[in-house]
Amino acid sequence: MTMRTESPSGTDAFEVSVNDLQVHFPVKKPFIQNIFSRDRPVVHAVDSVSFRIKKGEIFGLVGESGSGKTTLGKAIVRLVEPTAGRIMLNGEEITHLSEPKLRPLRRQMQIIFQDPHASLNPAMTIGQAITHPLKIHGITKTKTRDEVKSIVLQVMREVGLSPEDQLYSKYPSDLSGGQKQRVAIARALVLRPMLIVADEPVAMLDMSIRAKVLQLLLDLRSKYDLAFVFITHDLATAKFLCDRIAIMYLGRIVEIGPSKNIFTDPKHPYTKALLQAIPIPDPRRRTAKILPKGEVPDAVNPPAGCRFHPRCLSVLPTCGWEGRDFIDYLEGRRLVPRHAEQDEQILGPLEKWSARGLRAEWKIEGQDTGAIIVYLKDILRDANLQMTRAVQTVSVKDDHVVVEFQKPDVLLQKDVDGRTVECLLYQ
Amino acid sequence: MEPLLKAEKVSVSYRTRRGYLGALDGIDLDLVNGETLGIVGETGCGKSTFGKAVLGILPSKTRVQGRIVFHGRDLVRTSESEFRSIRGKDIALIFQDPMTRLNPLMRIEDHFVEEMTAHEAISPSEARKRAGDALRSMGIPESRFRNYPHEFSGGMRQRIMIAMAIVLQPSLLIADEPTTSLDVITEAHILEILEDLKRAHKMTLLLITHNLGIVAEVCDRVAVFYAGKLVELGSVDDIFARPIHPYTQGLLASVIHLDSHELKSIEGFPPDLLMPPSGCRFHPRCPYSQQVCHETVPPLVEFKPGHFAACLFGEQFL
Amino acid sequence: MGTDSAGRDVLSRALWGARTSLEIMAIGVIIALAVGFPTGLLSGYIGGRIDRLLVLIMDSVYAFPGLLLAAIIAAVIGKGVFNIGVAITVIYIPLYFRVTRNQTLSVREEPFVEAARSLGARPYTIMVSYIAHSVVIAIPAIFSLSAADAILTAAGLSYLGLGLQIDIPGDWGRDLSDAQSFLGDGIWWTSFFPGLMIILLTVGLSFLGEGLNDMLNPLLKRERS
Repeated sequence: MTMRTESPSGTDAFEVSVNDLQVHFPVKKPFIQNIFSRDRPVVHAVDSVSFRIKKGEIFGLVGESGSGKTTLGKAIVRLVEPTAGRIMLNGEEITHLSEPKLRPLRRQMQIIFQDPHASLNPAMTIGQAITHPLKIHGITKTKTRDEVKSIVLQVMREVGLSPEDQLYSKYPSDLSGGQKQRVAIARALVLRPMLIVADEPVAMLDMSIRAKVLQLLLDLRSKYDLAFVFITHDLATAKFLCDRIAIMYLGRIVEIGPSKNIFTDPKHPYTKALLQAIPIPDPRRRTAKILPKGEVPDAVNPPAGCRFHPRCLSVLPTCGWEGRDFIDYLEGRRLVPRHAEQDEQILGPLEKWSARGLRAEWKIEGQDTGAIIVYLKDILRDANLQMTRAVQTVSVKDDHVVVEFQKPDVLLQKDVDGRTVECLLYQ
Repeated sequence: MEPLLKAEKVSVSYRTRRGYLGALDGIDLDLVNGETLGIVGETGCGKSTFGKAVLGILPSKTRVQGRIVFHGRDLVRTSESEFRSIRGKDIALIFQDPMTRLNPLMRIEDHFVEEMTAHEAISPSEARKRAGDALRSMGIPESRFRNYPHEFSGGMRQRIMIAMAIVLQPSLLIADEPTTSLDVITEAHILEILEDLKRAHKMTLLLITHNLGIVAEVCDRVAVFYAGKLVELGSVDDIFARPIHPYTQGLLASVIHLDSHELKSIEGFPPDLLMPPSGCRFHPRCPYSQQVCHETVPPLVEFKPGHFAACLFGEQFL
Repeated sequence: MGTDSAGRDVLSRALWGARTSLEIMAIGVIIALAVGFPTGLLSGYIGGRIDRLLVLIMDSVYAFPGLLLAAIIAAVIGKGVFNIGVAITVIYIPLYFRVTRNQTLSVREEPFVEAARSLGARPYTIMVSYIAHSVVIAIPAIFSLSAADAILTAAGLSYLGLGLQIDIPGDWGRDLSDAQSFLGDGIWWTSFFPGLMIILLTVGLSFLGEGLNDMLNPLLKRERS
């Protein structure tokens, strides 16, 4: 039985595209807090992301935690509802399609998860697990039991699960991590999808068996023209496997293009930082690393302008400096005892400073504002030149001492050297 | 020179429903003062078990044989109450998940104060001062000293845990998968911190991990574990450039890095430790195995100065 | 064990009472389970307004002191084995509902349930084939414990005179109540033995519940590893 003719799309073309996709989640706050405050904080998991995946393409979504890559992957298969933007499958919009209408289309897009131990139903045998998708889509109704079983056995063989007749009646707890992941792949494969979203499929497997599972994905791509969205934080694997990649940071795509171009000549400072940070398994090539400071900030209040600006080593005055950045700077000064004393004296306790958008302000309670302003200007001279240049005014406004930054430039996506980058350095 | 830590024929068996599971078998390992030794291996190799055996934190009813000599005493025969004065002060541990070490109901400053006053006769205010110094050196500002662990990011918690581990200046720090749950950039930061600590405090570091990249970055020597056995031991340069044991060869070959051109893996999967293979435990998966490998347990042989391997055919791989 | 005021043998009444108590308990607890389990599953999985409404109802019932509520219901619907069973059912439904709902809420977030959704499985299929299995593990222990409690409640009702009709023999609670007046005369056996039976059955069921819990929990853990 040739499996190719079972392909549900029927046509040769296949394309999934995502336009300005946005996924925001409300932050779960205790009920009481909801009564007392108006604002409803929201996690900006994915913000205005666009790309297209063609038949047989392996598309990488690369990023660290908080980048939104997993949420994006789930949104593509509608496991998570987008809050704005569109998802198109072969020209048809599926963004908010109702479940009954979406169900038949689900055959074309499947997902496999990171944790092989948690993605299989412990109550189902391997055979039952792989048969289930066929049942759900009514395929078992038109075939005999034996026919169905042989389809399942064949898929098991394809993914390297052998001896398949024995494993057919086993439960997940009898299998190793690598085998369980293969079952998950078989389950996704049995419907003959055109796209599989693979969320960190080998991250939890031992190194020595990762290669086999990745090789399997490559083989499936060659054999069936299967497209993949390969989600990972491991740049090396992404480089090896993917045709095109998108580097994500805090919900946005900062660089996207052919994998080769991005790796040989990374443009975005974050991409460069990632590449530098990867530990190389070769002691002769130990290098001093220049790393961006700090960590990925929280997605509830992402930084203004370019989200990477507080950590960027190539930052410009127009990248999005805001009140929070100045307060972080003051905080950093307090780590040095010599500065800490003076700052405490003249600028008061740090808790009194607050950030409001582009401003950092401190309510005056009878201090000598003149001296404070002079001091502020003084310490700004010690700060990052780019931040200092971004300061518009240091003055007194509405009985606050205010450090106000200029408005950031609007970020655009620019095509540079065969890929697209979102960075003011290239605008 | 006497090694800081000397493990002799250490074997550990866990009590399970199905019988005793041999997690470690006859480990002979020395730790030289001031060095960073990496223990690498995959699931079930016993590397974490070794770290726990050194610290005496194995579950009760676990059978431990052999000796682990540290500062003149045998840790295998040390009682729990004696261990309490050793842990934190002479030997410290950092794990993969800082939250297992940090009490969510205690402010971080208090964590330090408690730790210090438990081991040294200093006043709480003196402890607070030293806590402040340690936290500041980790980039944590005073305004956050009274925060609770959950108010910090993963990377910060890891730093706090490291700061706590070294505040009493232990001579040995054991790090069990310290960066596994961290992002690449944060991981690089933490590795820098560990490097600085080594230099500044001349601390000995036992780094337990499956990540060969960080081993190459940070370690002086490497010990490779497989199925409870020590299969190779040598300098980081020797191990990476000329691995002797076929498992080490396979492991290094399977690492995917930025210059990888092909995907390589090791056939099969790790053995069931309740019934390990006879002779060399790696033989079912070894591309070079012969009949003698099924029958004889290979001894650890020094094939080159300082480079040991447990393979009957090690000579051929030099 | 002697005879009681009407000349009936205490021993046979005590033993007969076991059967009656077990009948009542069975009706009560089984119906509570049959109602509480599916509603808990549905409520936990679907969420939203249905969930909020059901939780509100269940919590309100749960907040009532059990015996009092059972007494009110029994007083309204009258006596009889079945009616007592129903009165008891109502008290225990919220327990099964809660336990099931809580388990459902956590299992719902597991990757294998997400996988089922991504395959296109319908909510009913997911609830029955994916979630119910994991949730059911918690039930047997709760079952025994609530059964033990039900025995006490049934006895309590009878003691208060709201239990079974006079002619049904071996109602421990009522026997106890009847026997009270004779205690002053030094006749201890008519109250002692029914009391002892209540204790034995209750404690026995509690131990069963604990044992089941211990047995099933490692099973749960092993399945997951």
